Amino acid sequence: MAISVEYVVKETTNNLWRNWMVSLAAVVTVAFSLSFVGVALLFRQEVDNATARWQSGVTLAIFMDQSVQSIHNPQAKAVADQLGNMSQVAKASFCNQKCAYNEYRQMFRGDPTMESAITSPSQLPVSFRIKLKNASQASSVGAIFNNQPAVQAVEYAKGEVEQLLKISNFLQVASLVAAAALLVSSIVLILNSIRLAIFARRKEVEVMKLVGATNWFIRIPFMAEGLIQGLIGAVIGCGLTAFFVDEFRKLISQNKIQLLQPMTATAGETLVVYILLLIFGSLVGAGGSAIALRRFLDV
Amino acid sequence: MIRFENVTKTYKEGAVTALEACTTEIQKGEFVFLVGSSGSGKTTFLKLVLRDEMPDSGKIWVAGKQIGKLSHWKVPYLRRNIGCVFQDFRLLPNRTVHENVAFALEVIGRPRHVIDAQVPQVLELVGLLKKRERFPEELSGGEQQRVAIARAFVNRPLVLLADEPTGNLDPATTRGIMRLLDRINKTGTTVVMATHDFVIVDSMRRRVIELSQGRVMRDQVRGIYGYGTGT
Ligand SMILES: Nc1ncnc2c1ncn2[C@@H]1O[C@H](COP(=O)(O)OP(=O)(O)O)[C@@H](O)[C@H]1O
Ligand SMILES: [Mg+2]
Repeated sequence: MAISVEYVVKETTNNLWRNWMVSLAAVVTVAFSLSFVGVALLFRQEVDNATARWQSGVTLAIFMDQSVQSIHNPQAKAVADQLGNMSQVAKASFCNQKCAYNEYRQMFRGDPTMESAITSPSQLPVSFRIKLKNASQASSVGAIFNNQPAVQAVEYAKGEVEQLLKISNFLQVASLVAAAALLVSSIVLILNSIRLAIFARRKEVEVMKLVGATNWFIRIPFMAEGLIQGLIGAVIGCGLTAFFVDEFRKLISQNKIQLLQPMTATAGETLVVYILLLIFGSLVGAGGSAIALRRFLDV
Repeated sequence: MIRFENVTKTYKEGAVTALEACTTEIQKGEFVFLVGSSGSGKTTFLKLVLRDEMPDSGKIWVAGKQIGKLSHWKVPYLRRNIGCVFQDFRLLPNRTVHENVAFALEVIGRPRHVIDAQVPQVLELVGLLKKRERFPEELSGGEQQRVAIARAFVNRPLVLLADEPTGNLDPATTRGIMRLLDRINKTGTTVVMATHDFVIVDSMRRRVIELSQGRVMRDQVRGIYGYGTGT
């Protein structure tokens, strides 16, 4: 089937122009729904990065001083044994210098002064991360270790962190639900714009069938139209995502939410989210036009 | 070139019979008039050749292939061998004469240099080379039908089907169109023309297949319309 790129480009642009308001509505809806998805994904990533230390229910961290370099240190062993015998402790794990270093890098990524302050794992303290059976016992358990030899500090997962993770989970679910609803309307709008394009070109389609154009030849410009709407929507959606996330960051730094101070995601993580949005956009476009072709184009 | 064997076609789940036990054969290079009053099944006959409709029973061969057995995706390739002309021209109003004809080649994927070579050639044949930049609405009915014929013929089909092509035209213009169809037939293209214009049929003295209520009533080699059968 010889179908030239030139032909598809020409027909698709014509179609898009003919009903530009309808196309615009479809594109804008795709953009907004995808920006919701994008913000949800990126915000989640940033909260995860900022609260890495307090993940999966860790409520208490015991930092050892510089005399302790590894778990083989007798004083570290003593703490480990003690933790192992405590009935309040659900799970305790050891974070060595390498682990501490990775965590540090994740927390202060994108902050050059903090990044250059620590250049090697040996500069950081080792620690125990403790999950309690009952989070309310955090301070009583912490008090036991506070004055032990070689213990530098005990840190608690403040209520704030838990609150924050809860809010972030809620926001994520809410925005994904909203995105799903908007995505459905995007598909309907794309479908509608393809339907109009098919209607506007019904005479052409009739002639094409008559002179023996293949079914794919007839379909491709319409499919390309849906795909382009989805893709343009996704590109704008990426822009909106960047904008919204930036606003979020400003809000957080203005409100001095200390635990979230370094709200960052790496370029790689951001890129993954954008690529996902582009994929979603093309799927929405292809899906909308596929339904329209099925229902309104008799080839 | 075209063979019908006991073909029956009904519409509305059998409520309307358009063709009944129709058997006939048209050879390569023939010029055939399909005559009969309105509703006698002429259009249905042409649609069956084009595989725009499928018969209820019976077999149809076109260009050596039994088209009932043709898979869905091969139908476009069948149609590339068949040119079609209608009473209402079916030109695209927002395209020029040249573009209307070129469109037929574009959409079957012909390369640009082939299009640029063949379109002027066929426009010359139908006598519209000078008006190639005009839009259909700027042309007379006869000229529009010439464009439609050019579009049907530009890909050099084996068969040209014409469904009352002169139905909207005055007698003088009709004669011009008939001369053109005759010329196309002389190039070896089989022409099947449905009409109920007895003046044309009588003047051309070509083969006549007469349908009446979906049945072949008459098949005459150098026929006339047949004043006895009405219309
Ligand atoms: N799409 C259709 N649906 C129902 N009946 C049809 C359809 N097309 C044609 N018919 C009927 O089939 C018969 C033959 O029609 P047609 O082939 O158009 O005849 P002609 O072209 O000779 O006027 C007529 O009775 C007509 O009403
Ligand atoms: Mg008819």
